[in-house]
Formats: sequence, structure tokens, C-alpha cells
Amino acid sequence: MNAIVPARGLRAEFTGFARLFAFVRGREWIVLAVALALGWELAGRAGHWLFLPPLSAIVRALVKMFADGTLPAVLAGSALTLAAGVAISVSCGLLIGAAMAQWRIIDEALRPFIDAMMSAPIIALIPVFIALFGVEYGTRLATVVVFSIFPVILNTYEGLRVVDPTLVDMGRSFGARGADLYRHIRLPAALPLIRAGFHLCMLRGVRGLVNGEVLISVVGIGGVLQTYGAAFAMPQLWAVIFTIVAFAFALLGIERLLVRLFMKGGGASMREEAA
Amino acid sequence: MSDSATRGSARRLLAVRAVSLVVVLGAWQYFGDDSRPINFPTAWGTLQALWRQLADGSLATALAKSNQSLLLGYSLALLVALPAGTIAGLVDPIRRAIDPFLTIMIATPLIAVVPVVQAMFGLSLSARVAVVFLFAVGFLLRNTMVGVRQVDATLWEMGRSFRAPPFTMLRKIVFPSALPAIMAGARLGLGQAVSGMVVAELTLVGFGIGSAIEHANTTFRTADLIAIVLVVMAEGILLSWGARLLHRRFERWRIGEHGFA
Amino acid sequence: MNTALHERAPLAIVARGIAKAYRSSQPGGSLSVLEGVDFTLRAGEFVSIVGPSGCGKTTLLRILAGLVAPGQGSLEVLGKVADGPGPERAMVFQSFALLPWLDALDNVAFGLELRNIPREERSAIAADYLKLVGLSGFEHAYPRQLSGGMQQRIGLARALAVDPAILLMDEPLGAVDALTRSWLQLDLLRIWDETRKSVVFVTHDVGEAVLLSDRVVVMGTRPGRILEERVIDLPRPRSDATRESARFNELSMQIWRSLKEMVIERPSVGAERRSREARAGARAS
Repeated sequence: MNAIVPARGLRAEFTGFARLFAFVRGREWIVLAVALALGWELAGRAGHWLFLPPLSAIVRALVKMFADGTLPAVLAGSALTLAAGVAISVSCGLLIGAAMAQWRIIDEALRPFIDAMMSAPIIALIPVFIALFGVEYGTRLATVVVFSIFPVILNTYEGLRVVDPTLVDMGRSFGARGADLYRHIRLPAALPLIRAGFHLCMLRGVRGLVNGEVLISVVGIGGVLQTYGAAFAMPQLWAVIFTIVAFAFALLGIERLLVRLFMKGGGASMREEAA
Repeated sequence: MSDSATRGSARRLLAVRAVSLVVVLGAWQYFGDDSRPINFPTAWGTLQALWRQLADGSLATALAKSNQSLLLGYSLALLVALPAGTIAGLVDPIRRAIDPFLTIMIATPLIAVVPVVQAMFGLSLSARVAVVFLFAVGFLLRNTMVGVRQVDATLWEMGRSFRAPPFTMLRKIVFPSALPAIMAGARLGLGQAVSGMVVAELTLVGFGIGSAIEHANTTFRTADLIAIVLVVMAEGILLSWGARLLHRRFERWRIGEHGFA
Repeated sequence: MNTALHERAPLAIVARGIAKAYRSSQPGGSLSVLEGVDFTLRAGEFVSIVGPSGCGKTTLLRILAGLVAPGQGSLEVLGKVADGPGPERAMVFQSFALLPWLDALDNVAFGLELRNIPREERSAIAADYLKLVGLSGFEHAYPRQLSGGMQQRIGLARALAVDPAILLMDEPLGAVDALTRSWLQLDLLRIWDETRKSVVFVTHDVGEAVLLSDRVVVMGTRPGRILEERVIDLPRPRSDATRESARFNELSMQIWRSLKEMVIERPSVGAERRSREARAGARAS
């Protein structure tokens, strides 16, 4: 960095750039984001493409929709639906997965169905739900549950299945049986996989929520999306899209927080080795 | 376990699954009601609706039309993701630049972008292809990137010590090492692509499955609707299992031929 | 002599006619792992079971622990029929079987926690036993941060913490390196001297068995059965020096030879005769 020794004034600019460069190196996405934002703004102003309004217009629409309370109210409703659906998925999923791990006959009966549901395009079920249950709240909830329950079942089952049998033996040798074994050994050992199941559950739950609301069309954040989409109100549409993205991320962040609070990492993430 | 013991448990497995299937179908038959088309149909009623739609060709045509967008969109995603992913995997600054955006893409419900695609392409085949592409490309890109990046450093050094030219390095070292991750991405991407196809069909209705479903809805024929949906889901499941089978066979070939994991 | 002492001690374990077979893909349909095994343990006795791999010694130990039911035969522990694990027996495992999400203190306290002993009390007891095995200061370390030898000490402390009458140890030093093993053997001698539990110790290391035990049971393989027993009349307390004594080497060689005949040659008529003679000789002394 000292190879060139320019005049004093120039030197100050060099260090400024150097510091900026050092900051960005390792965070290149910032460069891309800034470039995209600039490009978007300019392209939007030029007005060539209907679907690309200037970024500033989108931001303005976003601020307005939040300020006048329409978006927050809708988001709250969607978030509650998601929370309820995920709660159902998690509780039922844990029970079913545990039952499958404990009793082989349940595993044999249910597994093909669950495998199938994990690889099927579940979104195809939404029209059926709508036709059968209408546009009620129940449909939205059912959609979230159907999307998010299967990873929980599968991961709970897998997690409980791969518990080290020596640990179970050890527990039994100390007098643990049944419920004790679950509490002290099986569940803690299964926790990493179960945690992964929760993550997938949340991810798919968000997807189920938005998919359901878009297809049902008048409800929730998905419904708002449809409304603006149909009206080709592009700045507002993009604003809602950004909101949905932020919404998804916020929920995943909350999920990570909850997991850390309610499931002791218990040193599982520590990677220290003894000498 | 002894021979008779394993045969016994295989027989039991079959029995359990057969019984549960019978129970489910039986309950469906019992709780269904074929008296009016708008009602939830019985299992048999659904089967009849399925047969009717297959016989008059409507279902087959609809499926063919929908799968056009699946095929085109997925191929496009492969064509874009493989080279782009390789480059991003090899050039760290590029990888760091696009990784957060990929994460966003994978975590967001992409149905949200459909209205924009509609504004771009209208209600055309291109629009549906674009949707399938967007659904599939995220996983494909991410996995290719990760796979290429994880190439064993020792293998790199070995290649360089033999002064291999860059394209040979890519062909003989990078690509084979990254292949498992890429295949995993291809499988995930396929599942997503099928979802994308269904999303496109349901929102950007063309002449495929989406219109068949719309038709069933407007004529209030629930049995028709359920039949179509079951077929679509079956296609997704079959494709996924097919991919898994191919993947496993490929893995066996790879380990067999080259003897390394 | 310790033999005389033990012969007057009450019986801790009496196992008679133990047999165990597993279903297999062999012709005949079952693999006999144990056949006609009679085993006794007296209070305060340290008995080792040695044998080649696959001779069923681990299976026998698990039957004694109550983790596996014998196909045939009877098991009495402390005078009562036993059909399952019990509070008077505790086990130490070859792979340590520590719970990776608990720290050392909580691992040692595990058996106590299962008995609903309140937290403060069990932590205190656990801390005491950690001190006994020489791990004071490591209470809050996690298993993955500790070496194999340290992990096994925790396993031992855990078993001792529930104050069992009988300790069952399944090749406890099998998964640690040779240096640590020698060190742990001496530690085991010290701890046993202090606690005087009745111990059944399974190992494939003859020298280890001779160093630690009052009696060595030699098991044969295919099917697993007891071939011979030798009383180890080395004086206690034993130490590193014991390993260099002539008697130690003599006993080790005798047992080693029996095992060799079993492993290298199939038990011939001659070998069986020899082991019968050795047993008669041991009883006479």
C-alpha cells in the first residue's frame, strides 16, 4: 500500500478509497445491491418497461402503505394465521413422528404417504381446499398445515430413529424406562434433526401461507398482492413483493430465535477439541 | 435374520400397507356423496371422473401443454445455473456477491413474483416458462456453487502440479467432484420446477392443467377437480422418485467405476 | 489370602445354565452365542472375563446387567431373582455412552437424576465422585472437549455415583490408547481399593485382567461357554510393580496359552484336558 507515495492531498483520497475497498471485500453483495438499485432507478425513470417502475416510486408506495396502516394490519392477520398453522403442524407432527419411531406398524402404514407428500407439488391441493371449504379462514389454516407438517413428521421420525442404541442401553442400565428414556435420552439426541425439521416447517409454512392467500385471492398479504397485480399498480405491487420478502425473512429470524430460546444448544454448536 | 424371518416381515409390510390403503379408500367411499357433482365425491366417483377425462383426451392434452413449460423452464434453468454456478463457485467475490440474493430467492415464496412476470410476458407460454425457470434456478445455482466451491483443495494442487490447462481442470477435476452436490441440486430443482409449473398453471391460466381445473370449477364438478389434482400430484411424485432412482443408479455407477466416494 | 476371604463372602450374583441364541441367516436358523454358562460373583470380588472377540462375553455381561433376557437359565442378584436392570447394578460402557449435551457434572449425576434426587444434592454427590476419579475442575466441560481417558473416568464416576453393590464393566479401557490404558488400570486399582465394589470386568487384555482381578474366567467361543477359571493370588494392594512380578507373568502366560489354543487351534481334546487339569489344580491351591 506504500508503493506509491503521492502528494498529500491525493493521498487522503487514496486512503478513503482503500478503506472503502477493504470494507467491501468480503461483502461484495453490497456492490451488487447498489449497482442493481441504481440500475433499477435509472431504468424505471426511462420508462421503457411497464413492469419496472423506478425504485424511488416503490419506496414511496411502501412507506405510504405502512403509514396508513393497511399493510401492518394485513401482515398481522397473515402472521397470526401462519403462527396458528405452524403450531398445529409442530405439535401434531412431533406426535406423529414420535409414534412412527416408536411403533413400527405406524411407520409401515404411514411412511409411503409421507414420502409421497414430501415430493408432491402440494400447491396443487389448494384448489381442492377452496372448492371444498370455500374461502374461509379454515382453508388458509389447512393450507399452512398441509405445507408445513410433513418435514416435522419426517425429521422427528429420523431423529428418534438414529439415537445411539448404546445411549439407550446406558439409560436402561440406570433404571430409566419409557417416558424417562424419551425425556432424558431419545428427545435430546434427536434434537438436531428435529430442529432442522422446524426450520423446513417454517420455510414451507410461509410458502403455504402466501400461496394460499394468493389463490384464495381476497385475504391476507397474498390477497393484497393479487389486488395490485390485477390493477397493474406496479409500484404498489413491487412494494408488496418486498414486504413479502421481508416478512419471510423476519419469520425465519423469529424461528431461529425461538429455537435458540427453547432448545438448549447444550454445547452442540461448540467445536472445541481437547488437546 | 433367517430367510423365513425376512420374508415374514416383508409379507407383514405388504399386509399393513394393503390394509391401510383399503381403510382409506373405504372411508373415502363411505364419506363421499355422488348424488350431485358439486358434492365431495366418493373414491369410485373420482375414478370415474378420471377415466372420463382421460378417455375424451382432455386430461392428456392439458398435461402435455403444462409439461411444455416444465420442460422448457427446467432446461433453461439448467443451462443458466450450471455455467453461472461454476463461475460463481470458482470466483469467490462473485459468489459472495450473489449468495445473499440466492438465499432471498430460496426463502421467498416465489408466487409473489408472478404478477410481475405477467406484466412482462402476458398470459403466454413464455410467462409460464419464466415462472418455472425462477422456481428451479435458485436451488440449482446454489448447489452448483457450493459443489464447485467444495472441491478438495488437494485435488486442485494435484491438477496444478501436472500443469493441467484450465478447461481440463474443469472437466476432469472440478466437475466430477462437484457432481454429487449438483445432482442434489438438480433433484431439488426438479421438485421446485414442478411446483412452479403448478403455480404458473393456476395463476397464469393457459390451455393446460390450469384451464382444466378452471373448467371443473366453473362447472362445479368436484370429482373432475380432484381427479385432475391427483394426476398432477402423481406426476410430481413420479418425477421425484424417478429422479431419486436415477441419482442412486448414477451414484452406484460412479462408485463402482471409479472406486471412490 | 483374598481367595479364602471371598469364599466366605455372600453371593452377589448367581447365574446358572445361561444360554442365548439369536436368529441368523446361517443354516439351522439360529446362532448360539452362549451355552450352558454358570457364573458366580461374591461380594467384594473383582472378577474378569477374558476371551477372544465373538465369544459372547459382552452378551453375558448384558444378561448379568439385565439389559438382555437369557434364552435359558436363571439369574439371581443379591439373593433375589432378577429380570431386568436394577439399582444394585451399574454399568460402565466401552464407548463411554456419555450424553453429549450434558457437562461432566450432569453426566455423573445422571443416574441420580433418574432417581429424582434434588439438584443440589446430586450435584454435590457428583462433584465428590468426579474428585474420586481425579477430574476435579472439569465439572463444566463437555464430553467432546475431553480425551477418551477422561470421558471414561466420567463414565466410571457416573456408575459409582449411584452407589451400586455391583459394577459391570464392558471392556471399559478398550477405546483408549495404550498409554492412557496403563494409567487408568492403576487408577482403577486405587478406586476399587477405596470403594470395594463387587466387579465383573470384561476384557480381551489378559495382562489387564490379571493385574486387576481376584479371579479370571476364560471364555471359549462358538458357542460361548466358560472354559476355565483361575484364581489370581497376587497380593493386594497391587501397583505398577505387580506387573513385573514373576507370579504375574506366570499367571498371564498360563491364561494366554489357553486363549491361544482356543483361537489358533480349534479346542482339541488335548486342550480341553489341559484346561480341566488347570481348573483342578487351581481348586486344590
